[in-house]
Amino acid sequence: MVPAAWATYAAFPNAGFRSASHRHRKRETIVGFSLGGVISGAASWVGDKVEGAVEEGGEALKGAQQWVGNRLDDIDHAETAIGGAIDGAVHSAEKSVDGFRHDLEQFGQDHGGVVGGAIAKTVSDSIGLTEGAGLAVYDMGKGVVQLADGAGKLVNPLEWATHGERNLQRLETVGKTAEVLGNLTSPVAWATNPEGNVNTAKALWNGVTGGYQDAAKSGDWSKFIGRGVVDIGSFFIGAGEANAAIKGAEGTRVLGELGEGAKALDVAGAAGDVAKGTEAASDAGHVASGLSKAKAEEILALPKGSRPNPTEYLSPTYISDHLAQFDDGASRFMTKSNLDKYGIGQRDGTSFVMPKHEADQLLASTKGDPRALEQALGLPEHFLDDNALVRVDIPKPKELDLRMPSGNEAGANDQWIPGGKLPTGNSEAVIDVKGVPDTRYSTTPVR
Amino acid sequence: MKFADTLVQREERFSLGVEETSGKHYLSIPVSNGLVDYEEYYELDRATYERYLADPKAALPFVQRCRAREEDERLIVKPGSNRGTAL
Repeated sequence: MVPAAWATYAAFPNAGFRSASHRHRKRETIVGFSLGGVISGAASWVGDKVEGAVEEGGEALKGAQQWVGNRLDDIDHAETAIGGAIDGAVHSAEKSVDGFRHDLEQFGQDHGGVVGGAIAKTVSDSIGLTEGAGLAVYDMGKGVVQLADGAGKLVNPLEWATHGERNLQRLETVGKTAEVLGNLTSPVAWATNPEGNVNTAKALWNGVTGGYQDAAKSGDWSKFIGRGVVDIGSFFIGAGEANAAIKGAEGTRVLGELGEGAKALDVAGAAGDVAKGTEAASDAGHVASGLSKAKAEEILALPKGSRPNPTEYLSPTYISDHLAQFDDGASRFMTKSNLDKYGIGQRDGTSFVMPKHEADQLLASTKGDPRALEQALGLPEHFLDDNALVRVDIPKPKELDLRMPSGNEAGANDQWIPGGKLPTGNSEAVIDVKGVPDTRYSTTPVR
Repeated sequence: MKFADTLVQREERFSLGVEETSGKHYLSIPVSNGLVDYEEYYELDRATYERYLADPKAALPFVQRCRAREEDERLIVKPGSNRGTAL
């Protein structure tokens, strides 16, 4: 499989300012979580972007093109210096790329106009996206290595860049790893066919998380999302902490500017995220609602029972759009035991629900596999062997006072965040179910 | 594992019972992780179980500690990747 960024390059071999020698090197790279592949993929994208912009702009933009080209040449030189200790080299190069992105954005601000901040920021974000994706793949690669005992060369990015086929042969010893690696080198493959990577993804998990969290905490959303595109596959391994913020508004904005990434976002939404969210994920949720982090923290700091009505801090449009997701119905999952003993409501008669379509997508993504379903719901493995799961569907939740959660509900726990989003990115709302006859909802055995 | 309830306190939202395979006594509480509601089961010794069975209100401090995750060493089923919090 050809990595997505390289496929793009192959389709536009003359795009931008790419040198012939660089293109040649690109074709020599067989399998890559090499940083060179990452940078070159970004460079190709930048080339396309700048060339397209030239058609719209003027001489100033041509100047920008040359400037960008020179900077990428600088990065090429930096690339050649990578070697030795893997982590040190990769992280050093990461800093180099980040520095380039900063300079690029500064250039855009200084020159204004067509080549102003917007384009520069978009280009910078795209590089961050590609860089983040590449680094996530690299991290996954480290996970692969944990499968292959003693295969030291598998952790050498230069080996992958120069003798990728040899490492592929080494990895043949752990099953269909060649095929797996083909997918690993394509973030889009992870996004569009994550189930194909399920089994191996379990083994890869340990290699995924660290850098991802760093990107999130530093607020570098483009890089974060880049990693997120890759990490979508970890949905199947209970890795919700890693991909929890993919649906955040800032991520949506970044990916929305990047066609391929936007597709991945759709798939991420379809798969549904799982697990406890991270601080970064919560931040993304705040952004999604248009709520400042400070305001969200202010609300969260209030004792339960005294939090304000969401209409006081969310726009009518946001609330209307959010609740419109429930037009086709609301759903929730619970064990049959929970349903039989405690009903569908909490102590105060309210019930948190998700949009019906999100429940549909979650079930569709697991395809009846109990292990996949356990993972998607964050349940212990084999939990469903002994516990019957039911789905509760409320076809007309608006008749049960469907509304934004305020955080005062009995079911609002320490993971609750203002804005109607779970830390995982899933949507939620609240209905009143106290005294509601069971004819107002249906229950369906899931497992 | 097969958890068989012997007492359900709907208002206080906890249950007592016996896990039939192992014979372990338990107290369970409903939890939710936002995606699914399920139960966590905490092992009790027989004497405590019988005391709670006879006087359910006596179990409330223990229930509260379970909700606060202060009795995790008693969990019969290890939590999954997305542990729920008490409802």
